[in-house]
Amino acid sequence: MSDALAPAIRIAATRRVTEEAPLTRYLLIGVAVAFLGLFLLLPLAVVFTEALTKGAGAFFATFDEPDARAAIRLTLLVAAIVVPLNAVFGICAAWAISKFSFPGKSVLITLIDLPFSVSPVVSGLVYVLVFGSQGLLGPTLSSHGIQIVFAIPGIVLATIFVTFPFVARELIPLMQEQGTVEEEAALTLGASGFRTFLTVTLPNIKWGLLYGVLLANARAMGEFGAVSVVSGHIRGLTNTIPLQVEILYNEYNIVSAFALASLLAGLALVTLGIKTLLEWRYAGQIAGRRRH
Amino acid sequence: MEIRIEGVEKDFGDYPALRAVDLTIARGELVALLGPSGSGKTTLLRAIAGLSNPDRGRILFDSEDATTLSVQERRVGFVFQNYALFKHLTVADNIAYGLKVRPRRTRPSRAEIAERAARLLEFVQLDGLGARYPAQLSGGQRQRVALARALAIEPRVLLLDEPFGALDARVRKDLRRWLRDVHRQTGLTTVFVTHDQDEAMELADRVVVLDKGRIEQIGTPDELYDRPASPFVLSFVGEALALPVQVADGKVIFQGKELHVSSENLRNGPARVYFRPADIALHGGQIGALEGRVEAVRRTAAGLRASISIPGYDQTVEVDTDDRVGTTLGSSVPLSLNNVRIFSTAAEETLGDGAGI
Amino acid sequence: MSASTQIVKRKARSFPAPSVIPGFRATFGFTLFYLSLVVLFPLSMLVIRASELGLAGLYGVAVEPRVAAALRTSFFISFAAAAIDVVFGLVTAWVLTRYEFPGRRFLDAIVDLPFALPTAVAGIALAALYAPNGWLGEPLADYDIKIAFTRWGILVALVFVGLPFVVRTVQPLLAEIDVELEEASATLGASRAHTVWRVLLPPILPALLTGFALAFARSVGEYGSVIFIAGNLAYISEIAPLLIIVKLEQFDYAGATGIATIMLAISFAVLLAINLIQAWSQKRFGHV
Repeated sequence: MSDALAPAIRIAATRRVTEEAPLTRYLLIGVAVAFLGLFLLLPLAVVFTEALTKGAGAFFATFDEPDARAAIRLTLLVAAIVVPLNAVFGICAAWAISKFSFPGKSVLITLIDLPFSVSPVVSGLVYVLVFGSQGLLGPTLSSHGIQIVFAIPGIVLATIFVTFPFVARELIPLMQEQGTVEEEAALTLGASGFRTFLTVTLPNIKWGLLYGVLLANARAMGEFGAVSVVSGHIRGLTNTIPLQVEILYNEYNIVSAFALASLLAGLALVTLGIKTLLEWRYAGQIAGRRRH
Repeated sequence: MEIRIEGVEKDFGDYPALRAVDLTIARGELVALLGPSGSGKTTLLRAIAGLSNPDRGRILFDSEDATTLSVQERRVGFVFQNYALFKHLTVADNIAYGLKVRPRRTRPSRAEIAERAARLLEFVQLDGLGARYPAQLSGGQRQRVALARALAIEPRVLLLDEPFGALDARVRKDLRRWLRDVHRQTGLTTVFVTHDQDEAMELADRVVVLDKGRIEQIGTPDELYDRPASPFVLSFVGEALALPVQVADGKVIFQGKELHVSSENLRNGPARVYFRPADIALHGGQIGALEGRVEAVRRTAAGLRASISIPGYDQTVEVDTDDRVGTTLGSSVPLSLNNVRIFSTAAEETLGDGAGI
Repeated sequence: MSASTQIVKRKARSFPAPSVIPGFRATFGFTLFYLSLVVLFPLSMLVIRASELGLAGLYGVAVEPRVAAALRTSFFISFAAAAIDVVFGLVTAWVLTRYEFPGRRFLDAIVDLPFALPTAVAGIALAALYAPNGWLGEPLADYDIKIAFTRWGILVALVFVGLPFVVRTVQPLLAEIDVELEEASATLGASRAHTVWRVLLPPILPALLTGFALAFARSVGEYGSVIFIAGNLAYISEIAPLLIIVKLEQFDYAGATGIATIMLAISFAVLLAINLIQAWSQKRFGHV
């Protein structure tokens, strides 16, 4: 009798009540893997494959093109202006919002998040409405020889707009969680306000800051819609990498288009890699992954 | 250094956190701010430190008006409730922090800072742990680091917010004794906040009892225990029972019978007779004014403990006795009270002492 | 209080609430300044231009056949894409949080790819993949299925774009489910399917709705990943954001403003819906 019962007991012990039957489990895993493979991995693979169809020579030749080089330079320049500005803004906003209590705080947070709910094309459009030839300030500025849209300043502004919330919305919840007690301790020990920020606050938020900067940078370098509206598409002058990719693709210069695109795809992979690393290693020191 | 608090008031929105607080803490004194949560004790401590400023009134350090000084200028050693140690700094760097942030003119040399941190580590009995990070320490050790860090700046006063709140019972006991030693060795004027009356009574020279933002009483532990100024102090400092009575023409009436307690200065009307559990006893002799019924008897290590109900009083009273015969279940027993205090219920005001019934 | 006591009178109320932490004026001031300059001022320009059009003008733009067709296309396909994302996003989130299998961590990281990959790159990659000579387009063409340069292409691109919103909204909740809840359900005699359906999923529902709304909102405004694969035929496969650009190129600022305003209004309606869902969820389940 005990022999007859033994296998039944063993089966009951291997499958916990909180698990699905193995078949269901494999089926679900299969569906998820197939879906992610089809929709995420395959497009990614296409980028690198298409870039290398004509061999490494054609791939690298892309980057010798003056227009491609200009696009890369412009993208780096824009990111170098936009990311630090938005990082400083993010720190200031997070400091004011998380370390103090004042009425209207939630409205302010909503306003900071606003650019995320605006279509990239609309983000570009609003700058055209302000600085375009029919815009509010456009005619005045152009009479003084200042060109904003269809020039680099417009690209910078549109990129600032679309990456505006990244650092702030990473730091705000993080700093709210951390409270003010360590800062108070530093103050009682005689540290000045700025010193307190540098020696106490900054070390506490450094990984969160890096996380936010990383995401802002990826978006800044890859932004297409908003920049497309304000750029004017002047080759060698106002084309960022994504815009140059578009032009090459539309000219059926597929290898060059994908070669340049692979640069951005590589950046995306590096970003994801560091982001994942930060989430594993410093889970407690970043506000973590939330919606973007 | 002497701390003088004059007419300090503070509101949080419409809620008065501190009301007309006057208090002088003498040089070298060890004072406890005792009260339930929301009584304003932490608010008062933070006001002394300069972490929050009073809406009205002022705080003097010796004769200097500290209210106008910033928190940095006040040079107070503040130990936070959850220690607020800097997680990213080693224990030694935590302790040295206050010295390192000094302006160059007054900053000691690197070597001197390191030496002072080492000396403080030794002082708080943590020598050898300077290279650890706060996360690698036990609660009691963190508490010591927090204290060492506060002492490093050579503070004029030492302020501690619920210093033992986050620790388990055994560590608390050790640290209490140790804090007493630290106070003796440093001679610093020390103020600590607690909601634990045992802690306040055991440690402090004087205890300030706060309730609803007001000082209820200031006194030595003996004074608080023996001569509580209000029903609040009486019930907060130790356990207390209260019989509802009527005062009429100098007589104190409970359930239609007169209790023989002196009732001088008491207004006519409803009042309460307060006493401590230890002050009630089974009266050996004749039936007195106060009478109870034995509801249950249990054996204890020392003798017997009887649960006695008193008609007209809604709680049962636990009385220790060794009288096996007099405490048969259900029998009536005479009770005597010692050291009762009477407060009139109407205005919650004093007073009337009673030696016994 | 003795007469000699000097009373320092301070302001009873202040903005912000009193604090010893320094730096409020500077940081708050800069925050407001920068926010106004970069975000609020340009956006208000759109509002002003739209109010010049008036409701009648906006309506006129909206019913223009080409605009109406583009808005319809954007809406219906975004809705369908978000719905597909909800189904597969839930399965993905479930598998990633509940099961251990080789490659799980890699897949978990790669879910964020649509956030990280520039939209133009995703766009040309999808177009190349589904084009008649592409890896997927070629075999599908054998069955007479055309995806690239049709509305199906738009759907594929929007499913790609919206997926992480659903997964990342649902995942934390799935991770926090108390195992005891499932065990309780099992001890009460419920089958596994019943437990999943009646115990585990209901608290997830608000998150699914939120994820749906986020994916939908993002899809309606999406531009870069769509235009390469869409074909962009007016009245058929032209999306609203593209039409804004077309209008701008024709210097039809009023038309562009009109479409942008309608899209913005929809974004805010969705945002409001999300907030309502979350408020309801907070009340009903005690979490968002």
